[in-house]
This record gives sequence, C-alpha cells and structure tokens, in this order.
Amino acid sequence: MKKTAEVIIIGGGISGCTIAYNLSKENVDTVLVEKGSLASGATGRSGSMIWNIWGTDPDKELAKLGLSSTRKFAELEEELGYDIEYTPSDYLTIVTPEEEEHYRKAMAITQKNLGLHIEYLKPDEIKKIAPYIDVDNNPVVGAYHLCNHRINAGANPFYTVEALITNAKRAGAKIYTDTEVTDIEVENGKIEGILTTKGKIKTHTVINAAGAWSSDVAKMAGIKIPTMPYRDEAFVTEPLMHLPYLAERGDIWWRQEKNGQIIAGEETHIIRKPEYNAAASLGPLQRPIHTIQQYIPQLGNVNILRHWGGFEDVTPDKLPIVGEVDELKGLILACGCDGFGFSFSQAHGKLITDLIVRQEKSKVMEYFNLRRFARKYREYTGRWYDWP
Amino acid sequence: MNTNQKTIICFCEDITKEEILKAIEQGYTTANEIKRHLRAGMGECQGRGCMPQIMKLISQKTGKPREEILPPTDRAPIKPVPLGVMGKISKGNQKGV
Repeated sequence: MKKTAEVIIIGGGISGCTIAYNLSKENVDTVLVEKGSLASGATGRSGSMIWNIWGTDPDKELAKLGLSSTRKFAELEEELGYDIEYTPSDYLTIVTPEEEEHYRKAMAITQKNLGLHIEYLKPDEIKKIAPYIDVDNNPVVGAYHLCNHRINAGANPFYTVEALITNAKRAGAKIYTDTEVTDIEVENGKIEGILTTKGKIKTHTVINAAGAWSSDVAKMAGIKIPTMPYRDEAFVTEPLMHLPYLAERGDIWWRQEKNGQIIAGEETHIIRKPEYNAAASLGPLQRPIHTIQQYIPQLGNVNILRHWGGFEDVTPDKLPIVGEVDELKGLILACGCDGFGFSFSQAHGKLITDLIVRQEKSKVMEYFNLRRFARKYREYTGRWYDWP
Repeated sequence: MNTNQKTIICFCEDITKEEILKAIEQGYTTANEIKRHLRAGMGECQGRGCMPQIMKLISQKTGKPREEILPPTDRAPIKPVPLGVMGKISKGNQKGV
C-alpha cells in the first residue's frame, strides 16, 4: 500500500470514481479507498438514470449543473474508450388533470432556465407515438415530451465505474478495494492522514464521496454533516423489445436497459426512517407496479426477475453538499446526492477537480457548500445528528 | 475433443468459461463481483445453473477452498413472477408476505 498521497478519495461509487479519473487525468497523485467492491453501495443498486434533475432550489443551480453532467455522459464512452451501455431514451411525462397547473409552471421554469425545448402532446398525439400507453382508460390530459435526445439516458453502473477506474489507473491512480477507513487523523485543524484496515496513508486532502456513509466518514474527522441514509427499492423485469417511449408518472421512475430489461422503482424516502438496512420488501414495489400496469396494461404479464434495496444519501434541503469544510482545512465533501447521484456524478468530478487543481471557488460551489446548513438549519436536529 | 470451442457457463446471459476466468484474473474474485461484472447469474434462472460452476472456477483459480467461496446475494422473488401477480400480492394482505 502507498504511504503518502496528494489526495485520498473515500468511496468507490460513481462520484468517487469520477473524481479519481478527473484528478489523475490532471496528474494529481490520487488514492481511492473503498470498503467493499467498487459500485457496491448506491451506485450498483441504482437505476443508473442519467436525466435532467429538476431540483428544489429556486435558482435552478442544481438543474444547470445536472444538465452539464448529463451532456458530459453523452461523450463519456468515446472519452474513456469503453462500452458503458449508454442508452439515450425519450421520456413522456404524463400529466393528469390535478397536476396540469403545477406541471405547466414547472416546465416553463425549466424551459426558461435551461433553454430546453419541451413539447406538449395532446392525448391523440401520445397515442400516435406510443400506442401501448393506455390513454383512454386513464385521466390523461397530455404529456410533456423532452425533445432533446441526449438528456434522458441510462448506463450500466458497473461498466461505467470500471471504465472510469481503468482510465484512472492508467493515469496513475491507486485503487484499494476491501479497505475500510477506520479513522482520519487531524492535528491543529489540519488533516494529516487516514487509517485504514490495511495501513496508514499520509495526506492533507481527503475527499468524502462515501454516499450513504458520508456522515460517518465526516464524523471520523470530527465534522458533523446532516446527511442521512434512506432506503429505496427497485426491481427489474425480463428483457423486452425496445419501447421507444417510457412514460414518467409522478415519483415513479423506470427505464429500459440496453438489453431490454425494464428497471423501476419509487422515490418514497420521505415517509421512511433513515436506516442502513438494505433488505427488500414487497411494500415499496406496490406503487411502481400499479402505475406501470395502469399506463401500460400489457406489461402485467412480464416477469419480475429480482428486486433489491439500496441507500440514498439525503440532505435536509435535498441538494448535494459540494466543496471545502470551513472548520477543517483539507476535508472536501462530495456527497448528499439524494436519488440523482448517478446523473450528478460528472458535475461532481468537474467541480472537485477545479477546486483541487485550479483552486477555483466558483459561485456554484459556494451555493452547495456545507455552511448553508449552519445558517439555514441551525435549529435542525435530525434523528441521529445534532447540528451545533 | 476440441478444447478451443467456447464453453457456455451462464446460459441465460451467454457468459463463457473464458470470460469468467478472465474476470477472475482481473481481480473479480467473489461470486457477487463476477455476477455484477459479467451479469452471469442475472438472467431468467437467477444463477441456479451457473453459480455452483462459477464458484468452483473461482476456487480453482484462486486456490481458496470451495467451501470458503460464498454464493452471491439471493434476490426475491426467487423464481420469475409476473408483474401483475406481484402487484396483487402486495395490494392485498401484507401480513403474510
């Protein structure tokens, strides 16, 4: 094992691996430490969707970053020289009468801020391009259709991580899997190194990309961050013929993989308690199954092969935490990505590399800095964390 | 016997013995990692046919005793279940499931 490193990344998920690739490409002496195997946390369990993130922030900073990230993904296969099963797909966001007003406003804001062309389709037009969607027996008033082809996509998370890491290794990065970080050494307000189950590595810069475990990692350095792990579940069906359009409904997400399998799930973390239990159960599958069956009845006969659970790393305001920690020089956070970590990963890579290599502190970095919680969420006390 | 012929180990995803041996050489030395890296055992049969053989290959290649090679995580439903049927189970009484 290496004894020293300029930068140590904790976490071998999509964020950590992207940062490792970007840093080593800029000749930064990089080490990545992962406690399991690569993509064994949220990345490998995710739907690996690359889509435009709407975001809850009024300034749409997240959406802008997300857009740059999804565009980067479109070039990734060529850049890495690797087949990551990048599959662009078109989405129809189906709108019911109750949601009409809400969606009209949301889409107008998105269109204005991001410059995307969003088409509105009437039920008859939906039938024409996607005859398998049951428009007649459902309360459908229309659908939003994102015409920009390279916005919605998916990729194989394992291949993506492997491609990034192969390129990072070629550029000189060292990757240690099955190596758990046990402590972060801090002296006089400065990071001196990390202790792992396989030895000690000296460094002054640690990047926390540990996803659902990010608050535990930060705690080792004596820093409290308000991220919490929430369980989400997904399932995958047997391979099907290619469906040109998938319908998006409310908080149900689903996409078709390159081999034809449909992978789906629901964003329900709001009603659950934070936990590290990944065991799957039948309950959370209910709504995605019913929604899919409601809008594409034929899919009721398709077999479900597997379902599983994973973790999302959620912050109180549902925005990621990116950038330096004021109280501890050298600790850089790249976490709190909620359910859009895969889409956002390329933005993570760029932001962190700009910060480390070019000492660039962009306005966006300030926006997503940890200090926003000290101001805004001073009275926030989570179940596990007390914010000072 | 022509040993150059491809030996398919995972019938659902068409994964050959050569691919599995190569993956083990690359450092994917657990059944879980092979499954995620190659998709072996992720098809219709959920690894029922290929996993014992993959675990045997890992054992042979790494020199670890066969009983120390752990199977990958089993995922429900163990056998493929139609989406519509699954929806009915979870819609009804949830106590028994």
